[in-house]
Amino acid sequence: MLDGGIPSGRLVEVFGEPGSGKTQLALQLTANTALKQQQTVCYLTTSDANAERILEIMHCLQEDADHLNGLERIHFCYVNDVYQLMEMLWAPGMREYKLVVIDSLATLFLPIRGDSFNDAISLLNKVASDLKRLAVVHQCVVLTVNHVSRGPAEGTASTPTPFLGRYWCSVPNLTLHSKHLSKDEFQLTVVKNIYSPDPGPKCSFRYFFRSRVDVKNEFKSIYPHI
Amino acid sequence: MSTSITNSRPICTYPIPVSIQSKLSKAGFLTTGSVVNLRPSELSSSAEISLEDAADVLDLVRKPNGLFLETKTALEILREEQGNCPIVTMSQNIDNLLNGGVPLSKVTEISGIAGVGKTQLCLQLCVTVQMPEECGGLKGHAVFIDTEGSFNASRLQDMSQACIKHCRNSMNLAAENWNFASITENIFVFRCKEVTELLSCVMILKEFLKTHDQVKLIVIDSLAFHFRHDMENAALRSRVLHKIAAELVRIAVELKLAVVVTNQMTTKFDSKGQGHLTPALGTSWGHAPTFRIILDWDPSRNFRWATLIKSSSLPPGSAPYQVRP
Repeated sequence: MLDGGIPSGRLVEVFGEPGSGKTQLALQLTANTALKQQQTVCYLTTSDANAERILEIMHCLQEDADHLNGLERIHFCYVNDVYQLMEMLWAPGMREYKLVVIDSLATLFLPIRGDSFNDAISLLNKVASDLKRLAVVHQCVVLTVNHVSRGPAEGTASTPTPFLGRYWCSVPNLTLHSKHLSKDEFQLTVVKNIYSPDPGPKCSFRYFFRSRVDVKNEFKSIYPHI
Repeated sequence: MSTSITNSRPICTYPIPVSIQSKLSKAGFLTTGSVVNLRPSELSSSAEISLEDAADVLDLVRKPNGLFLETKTALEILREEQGNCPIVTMSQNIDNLLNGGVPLSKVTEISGIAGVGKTQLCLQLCVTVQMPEECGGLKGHAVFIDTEGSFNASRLQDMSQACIKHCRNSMNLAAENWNFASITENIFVFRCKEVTELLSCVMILKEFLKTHDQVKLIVIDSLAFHFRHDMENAALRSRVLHKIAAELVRIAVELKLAVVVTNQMTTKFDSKGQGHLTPALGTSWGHAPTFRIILDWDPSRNFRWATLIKSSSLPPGSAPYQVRP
């Protein structure tokens, strides 16, 4: 669907309802980049850092690779507000990362929007330009996770709109909409791709979960020295 | 090389008040590099700001980058997570659904219609968190923030007696360390009668937890009550709710304790006019908790079940459970 993947220097956004699989997609990309492409990843999170799930995904990708080394290439950082995010974006170590994930950008803006609306827009403007600078100058991929706004009434034919406003819609190079179809199935739709002529290709897939007990026991048997 | 990046960082990316930012930019100070070598008196006279403000700006700007935000590798986090035991709910099926119980360092939301048993589950968790480690508990204390007035001490007594009996039977533990009196001593109840009290309670929790560092569980029952009844202004309501959510997440992650929040149900209508029940407080709140469970029951058949609708690492599913006296 994406013609082979995401080239570097791009700013990608994935948005969707809660529980629609956005974090799972981000974790999947993180695991793949760290394990198969052996590059470092920076995961900026507002809620939690799920290292066990990444290990699970790595096991599913490639059974016999060096997972521990892959885990060491992923750096998690908790950010609580927009200024902490900007602090991280301007830190000199950021240039080393090949993939930067921000999960989720919308949560950082929730406490400040509506109050002094112009301030929120100007902060968003600064964040957007910093993210673009990061992606283009340091040739990495920046993936942002966004929420869905309470747009037109449910069930109308139009696609749902991402949360951060009309200004933000023009910022990413690639926008994906994630949806939870049924028990195990998720669907990703390309809403905007400035490098491809046809809009709206979809693909559905499943996320594979193993029982947590199995993973824990296996982990202990493979890595007893931890 | 790194200093040149930091020197070209715009001043507007620092958390400086807007009035001071505009004075600085009017005086021509746009990037870090232009102020970093100045003295406070020079900055205050050229930008026409007070000496204290100039000193604050210079402190912020001169802080070395990346040192106050710590990054951890996934491996370190994995090691830490291995050591975290979840809080059991005393229902095998629900524990299996959550892979062990209510997890630490995460926010869990429990929703359900009125009377389905959310407060019961919260009281149960306040008891099980105190179980000794030999029985699978955490030997921790609990904080119960009550907004609806539903904290029921006699029901707590029933639950503690059942729990103590269970532990004594299964583990042959002596009675003197763990009895009803000690259980009630270790549950701290805060009664919040309006939204401002709830907000201030959540904000001072961090100070409270510094002196009570054995607390491993925070329960808010229920978060939705004041927001649905008191607040008319939707924008203010959304901001306050998200401020509380951010603070809860921060407390859960930094202090490694479990936060449980209960929510009410509301009706959502789709295009055909059919209504179905969903958790209240809106979709943007829905992103804050890591785990979301809906409790449901069928009173005619006395059949209850719990459904996991959102989780970051577990498959969704349902689990039947029972409420026993």
